[in-house]
Amino acid sequence: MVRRFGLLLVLGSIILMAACGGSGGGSSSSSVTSVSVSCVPTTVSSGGTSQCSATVGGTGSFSSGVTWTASAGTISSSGLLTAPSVTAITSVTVTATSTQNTSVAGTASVTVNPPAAGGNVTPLTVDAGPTGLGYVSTNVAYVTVLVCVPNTTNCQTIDHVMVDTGSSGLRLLSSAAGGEFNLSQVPLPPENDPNNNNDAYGECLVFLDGFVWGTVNTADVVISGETAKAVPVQVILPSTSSPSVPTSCSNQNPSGGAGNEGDSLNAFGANGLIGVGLFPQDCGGYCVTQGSMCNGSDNNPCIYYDCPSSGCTPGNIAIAQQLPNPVTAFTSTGDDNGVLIELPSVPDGGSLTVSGSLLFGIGTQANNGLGSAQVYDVNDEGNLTTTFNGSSIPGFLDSGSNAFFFNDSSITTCTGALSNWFCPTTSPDNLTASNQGTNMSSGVQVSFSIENAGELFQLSNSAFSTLGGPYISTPAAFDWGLSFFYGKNVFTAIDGASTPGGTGPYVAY
Amino acid sequence: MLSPALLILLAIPLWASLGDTSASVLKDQAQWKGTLSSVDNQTYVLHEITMASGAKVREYVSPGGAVFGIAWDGQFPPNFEQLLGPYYQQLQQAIAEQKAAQQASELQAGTPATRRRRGSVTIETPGLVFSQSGHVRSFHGVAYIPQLVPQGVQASDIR
Repeated sequence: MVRRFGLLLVLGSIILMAACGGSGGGSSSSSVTSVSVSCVPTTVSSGGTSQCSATVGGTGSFSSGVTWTASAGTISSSGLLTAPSVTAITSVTVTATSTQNTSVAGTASVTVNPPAAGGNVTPLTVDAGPTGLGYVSTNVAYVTVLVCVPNTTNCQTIDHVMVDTGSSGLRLLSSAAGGEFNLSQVPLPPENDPNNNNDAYGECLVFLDGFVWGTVNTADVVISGETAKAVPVQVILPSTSSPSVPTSCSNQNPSGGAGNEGDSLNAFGANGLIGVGLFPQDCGGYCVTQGSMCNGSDNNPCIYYDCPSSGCTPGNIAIAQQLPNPVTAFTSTGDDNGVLIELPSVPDGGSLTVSGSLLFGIGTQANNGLGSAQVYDVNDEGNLTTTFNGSSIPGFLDSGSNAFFFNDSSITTCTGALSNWFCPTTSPDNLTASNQGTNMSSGVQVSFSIENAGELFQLSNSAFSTLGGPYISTPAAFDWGLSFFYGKNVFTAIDGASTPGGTGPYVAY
Repeated sequence: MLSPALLILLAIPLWASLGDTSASVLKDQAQWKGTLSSVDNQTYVLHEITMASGAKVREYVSPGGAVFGIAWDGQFPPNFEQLLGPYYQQLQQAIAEQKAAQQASELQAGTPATRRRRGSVTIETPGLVFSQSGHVRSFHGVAYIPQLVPQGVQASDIR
């Protein structure tokens, strides 16, 4: 219906123009003296439209016909300008030229604004990993992030930054370790601790089988249309860099000095890590007073270090100086209460690559509403309760884990170098568990499958919805890694943040 | 002035938990400035040390007086060098070997490459079993020496 109406309009304008040309064009006593052009509106968005019209002046029975041209974008024979897609403010010149006398023309300018800085969506990719990685990345979801020296245009685009809902804070693998981020070209200033002589400070963040060490620096972080202004980020340094890794950092890790994931791109597997997890800071209250508890000899972990020029020693660090979940700083858009990860389904056997989206905010825009998702409130450690094989154990949804990790002695474990993975004899092995939030009176069933990892890894696929591995401890935890996220919309709401699904922390899917 | 006895104490490692004698539990408690609660389960004695951070370490002592297993919970992992004592190097070596084998396999063409595992850790060696799971602000795990686990005690009792 609409389409036919449009067609009639176009036909009508052609007939009108033909009539005008016919009545004036043939007269030898007529002349065209001027063409003036105006467009409404005079400012449009990238890719938007503006209707231009021409007023032709002349003597005798002159033709009012014009031909339209534009310096960018496209323009129809009736003067409808479709603006180009631009990334910066651009002026487009529209010209109407008399058909009777092509040396007479008029112009008007239309200003084209760039899109509203990308909105709250950024592409999320599961692929083979960053350039230079010596192996095929497996089930790691990456985004691209722009980091800038605060309040300047001195910026660097960092691709293949791993998205982790199991931690908080942005960490960049320095070029000294083989990462993309180059501190000498983009000199992010060191953060200074106002509670500690304005000293620089460092951080040791421990993961399950490794740790990262590095300095804390200030950056403007831009991702899609969201900006976190002047936030603390970590620059991950290799063991060979200064300041060197404190032994109280490496020795609290199960793999010790061999566990420094900041030593190389292969060790880290990404150019950076963006923690968009359940907590507003990476450490919280513990680090505010850790200095008195962590002196390198008692058994409390050391996370933050005071780093005057003489070297780094464990110290207290106030909340404001800790690495924030960068989402909490997206205050100007209001998309600061959590994230939504959207990844398409992956068939049995896996996919070479997968493209999805990371969206900022929960219920803050038209595209990030909870819809029918079930909210699972988590406890103060960020865990829900998973019931599997009759046992109720802590469970967590962690995009930074790359498979389902759980205890089930009935599933055959692979042998040899693959012994970290499940190789069920009947593949796929279809399983069920249930998840229950602290807000729920009963659990909701989750169905999932485990396939033989030896077969999955035959191809160069990077995305697997059926990859799992054993976790032998009993009772265990259920680690719902990235395999769980495919084919779902998974929300992570930050502790204390208001959302339409209640106050965080919670996960929803 | 320090007494000669204290000087001797300072000269040796003040912590040595896994595989050590039950006396090390009290040393750990003192060193870690924790509070201790102990339960005698007949087949073993469970000592739970709660640290100022709220983190907990549970040490399992056999009737023969050996610490055969340890479990921990906390916002961050404990200091494993202290917790595992002489077994720490063994663990480091086992993880390093596993990572090396993984990398060698990843670079080997024509076979299904081992892929990097990111997530809960499980290390089983003949002399030490180690596992840890969780995420930032919630870590828990166990380590035990299979040879020292007393009769009648299941590995799953160490939790």
